[in-house]
Amino acid sequence: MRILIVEDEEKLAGNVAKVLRQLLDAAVDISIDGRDGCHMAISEPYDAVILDLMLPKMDGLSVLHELRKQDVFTPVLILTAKNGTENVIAGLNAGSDDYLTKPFEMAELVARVQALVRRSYNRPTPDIRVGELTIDLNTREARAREHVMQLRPLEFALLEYLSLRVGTTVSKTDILEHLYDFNAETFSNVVEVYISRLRKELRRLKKPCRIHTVRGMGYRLEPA
Amino acid sequence: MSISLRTRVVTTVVLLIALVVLVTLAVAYREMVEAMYYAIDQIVLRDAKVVRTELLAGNADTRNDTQRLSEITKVLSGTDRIHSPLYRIWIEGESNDLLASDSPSTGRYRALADVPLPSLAEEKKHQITTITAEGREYRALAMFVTFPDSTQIVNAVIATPCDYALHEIEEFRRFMLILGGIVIVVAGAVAALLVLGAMRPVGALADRLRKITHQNLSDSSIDYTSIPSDLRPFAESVSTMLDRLGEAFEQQKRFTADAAHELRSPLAVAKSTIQATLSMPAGERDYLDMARSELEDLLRMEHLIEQLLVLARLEEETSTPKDNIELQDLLDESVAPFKESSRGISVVLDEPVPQVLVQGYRDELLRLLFNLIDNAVRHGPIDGIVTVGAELCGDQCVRITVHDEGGNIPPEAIPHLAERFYRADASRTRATGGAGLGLAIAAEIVQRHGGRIEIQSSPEDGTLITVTLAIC
Repeated sequence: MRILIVEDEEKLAGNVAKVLRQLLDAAVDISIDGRDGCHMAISEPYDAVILDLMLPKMDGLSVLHELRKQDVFTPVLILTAKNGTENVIAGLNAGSDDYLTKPFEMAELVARVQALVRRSYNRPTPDIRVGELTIDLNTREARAREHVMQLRPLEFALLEYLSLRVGTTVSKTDILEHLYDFNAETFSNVVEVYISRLRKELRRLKKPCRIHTVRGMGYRLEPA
Repeated sequence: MSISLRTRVVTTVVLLIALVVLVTLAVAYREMVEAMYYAIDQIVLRDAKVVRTELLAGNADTRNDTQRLSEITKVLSGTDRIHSPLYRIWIEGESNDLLASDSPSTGRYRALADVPLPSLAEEKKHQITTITAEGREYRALAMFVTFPDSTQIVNAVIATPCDYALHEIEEFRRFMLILGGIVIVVAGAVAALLVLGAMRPVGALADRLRKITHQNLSDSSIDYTSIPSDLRPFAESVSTMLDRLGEAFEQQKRFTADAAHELRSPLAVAKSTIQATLSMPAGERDYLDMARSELEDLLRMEHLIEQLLVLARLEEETSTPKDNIELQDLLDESVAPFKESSRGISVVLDEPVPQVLVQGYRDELLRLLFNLIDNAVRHGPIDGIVTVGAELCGDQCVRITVHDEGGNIPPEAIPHLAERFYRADASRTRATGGAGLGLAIAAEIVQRHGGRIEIQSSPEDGTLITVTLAIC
């Protein structure tokens, strides 16, 4: 899951990023001004954008308008100190998907971001079943027949991403873009390494589902 | 209890109209009565003339009384007379009348005897008096005729009844009373309608004003079309007052909202820091980092609250008299805190400073200069120079200038710089610090001192802030 935070309070953005990385194994980018944030949101395939309204260079609502004009339909959560119903309505009507006012509860923000991402992949419930494997996005566990998969954060993030798009073939680039933030250094074979790690764990659990390699295209998670 | 304006105006108008009508009617009535009596008197005089002519027609010796008297009777009771006159003619000294119109025994006749005869010297003079006989009123004239060739004197009393005139007068009076009543009632009604009509917009205005609360102050415009032109200045001043109040209220609301917003931001940061630290396993270093970060946020909030308090205090009226402050002292003291300033910026006082006294509050002027210099230090380029200077402008005022080499304020932002919470780049970035209140406070202080503040900025010349203050 990859998330963009557009927020000029660097400290606040850093805190949110820290929590999202910790709790959701998310790849998080931060932009401290509206113009940069807008460019990033357009050029990178984020799963969600957390957007402040009062931003230098370009205000939040303009960013939102620009995104929607460019057919970027990434879920956007407005996180602002501007409260009041009219501001909330203006924000939602400008094309945002959610609105949260500062000061906020970190746990609530995390839950809202999760819900937005799930919804955008058409997964209303937090546990996704693929064959006999259940992937719980809240507890961040994957289990089959009372056995829990032993996964490192990035491995779970990969499984999460594949399960959100279950049944479709996901390219390697796509996976890299969703697992790593802007500043991460990745190696070309990192995806293969994680896929083989996942397969090993699935085998250990007696193959509740399988990851299919589509040659030249990518990978597909499907029921066994 | 006070009487309403409408009642007062209507009552006054009605009373005035009534007075005018009554006076007019009274005068008309008097004239009418006079005219009627005059007309009757003319008849009496004409009769008297006839009687005199007839009596003198013959001479006393002829004594052809019978013939003469029949002439007189014919004239006095002629067919052209509507009212039967009373008359009595007798020879002085004799008890028998030569002529009487009626039975001597009646009251009418006796009343004629009461009419005093003129004295002998006043033969041609006629005095007409009013007598009453049997409840009827008459105008009576007594006269006598002397004959040139005789000593005989013939007396005559002629009276004409006033019935007709009295009847006319009575009718006229009744007519006038009815007419006067109608005029007063109609005038009163018209006046009342006019006054009520004129007052209605005031009532409507009052209704509108009654419905105005602090919530709908801004959209409570007044419709002028229905208000008469003489009430318009009143309505307009009410309207402008509402506008002013609305504006002040709006400003207050905005200020509160801005202040809340400004406080909420550091609060959100502080909260997020604590929650981020608590949401994951943390060691001693993490907690230390958190504590340091919290302290920073708290200092920011403290600074903001302090600034807000300064602004609130500046808005209060003070009665303390202003001091006379030496400009040199003021500038020296203002520059002192920046002697070792951050970012390699040096603050320089441009000597010599005019040796004058400035009138004002020392603390406020120090804060004003501190804010201006602090601003310049924070927004000027690194390793730049901030110059503080002063020069006289005439013998009334002094110009204090604070100059930095930055000059990157966009021209369209300059008029807004003194607005509260305004930041030139709409940025919430704390790199340059400040809550956006420094210049607002400075402007407020300058205004309290009756001075002027001007800001010029261009990339070539840097930013120059000029404060003009009065000297003594």
